[in-house]
Amino acid sequence: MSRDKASISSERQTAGRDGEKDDTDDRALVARAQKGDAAAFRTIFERYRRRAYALALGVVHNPDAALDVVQEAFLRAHRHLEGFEGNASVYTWLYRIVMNASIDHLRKQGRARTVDYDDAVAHLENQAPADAAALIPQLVRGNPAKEAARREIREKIDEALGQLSANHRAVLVMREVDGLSYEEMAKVMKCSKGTIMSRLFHARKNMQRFLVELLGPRGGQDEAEV
Amino acid sequence: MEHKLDDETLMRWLDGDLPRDEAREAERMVAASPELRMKADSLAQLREVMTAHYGAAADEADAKLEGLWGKIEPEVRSAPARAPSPPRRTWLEGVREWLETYRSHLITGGLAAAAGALLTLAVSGSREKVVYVREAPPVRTAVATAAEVESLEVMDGSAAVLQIPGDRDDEAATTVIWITPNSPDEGPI
Repeated sequence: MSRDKASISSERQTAGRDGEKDDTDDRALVARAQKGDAAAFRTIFERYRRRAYALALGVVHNPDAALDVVQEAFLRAHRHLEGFEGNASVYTWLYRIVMNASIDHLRKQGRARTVDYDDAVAHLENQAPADAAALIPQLVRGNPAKEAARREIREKIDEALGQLSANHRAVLVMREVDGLSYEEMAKVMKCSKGTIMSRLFHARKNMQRFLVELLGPRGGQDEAEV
Repeated sequence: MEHKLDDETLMRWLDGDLPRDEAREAERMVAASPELRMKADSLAQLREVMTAHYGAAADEADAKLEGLWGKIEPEVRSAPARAPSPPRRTWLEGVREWLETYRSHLITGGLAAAAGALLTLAVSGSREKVVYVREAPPVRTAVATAAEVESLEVMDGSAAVLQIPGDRDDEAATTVIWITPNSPDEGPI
């Protein structure tokens, strides 16, 4: 059991990217793109467009707006290719651009939250039950991962995500979907590792709660075991 | 066994952020605690939900994403090459580079200055007045002692040296020279 968790843990550390070889490959692509090789830039686009879209969708929480953000982000990336000095990973650099483009989009829409998200979390916690400070030792009914493909379930998950702040959705996408490390997320979001850990902790806790509310707990047997 | 693993540490363990020793300890605690196992499972479930949800969203948008290249490509093709500009130097890096360039000059200059300083010290050393400041020695009270006279020769007579000690310890002794002339008529002077 715990070994399974450990393997999940290590798997996630490299998920979303294919290791050092691809990283070197990425840098070579950027170097070619810097020399004007459009095909190289297209390869970068093909490689990262889905992940960029997931992050943008996480932040702006609107599919059409996320497409606009992805387009804008790749245009910005190309305009600022010379700014990539090779010290960071390409995906970290790119995610940062996507994050900035997403925030700019929210600002234009007047939907950007200017308060820190820990404040927003505190607000949520005030509405939550007394034991809300802890992660929920509870599984959601059925197999939500499998059911997430179903439109009605996806709508519920989307509704739950909509109750989170943009920053909380962003850390969830970067960690859960792309497997970025805390340090990488801190670079993308230009904040400390501690802030990332705090955001991730609260994001998970709140998302768990919303999921249980929307999808229902699996039942009392597991709870009785606790 | 009672578990002591807090939620944040559990989260860090699942995310592979704990150092090896702590991770091993966390693994042991999770294995021993049904509650921790359930929390770990529910977090894993959340991960699966998120991956499935955003994966499905990206699948739905894939055709549109592919079409985005058509909007990006014109700018990419029309843009000039964007070679990286030389990295901006910080002032510290500038100083370091200057030191690297002029290191031999600095060493030569430093050695010359040191030699000059030593020479100056050697030449001026004899004339140099060194002032030591130290605590003054305790003052000793001088105690007068009587002169010691081994012999006293007097023309036409004889002499004697007498010492009369003082009445108190700190009072000096009095020395008296007593001369006796050969003539019996003369008294002491």
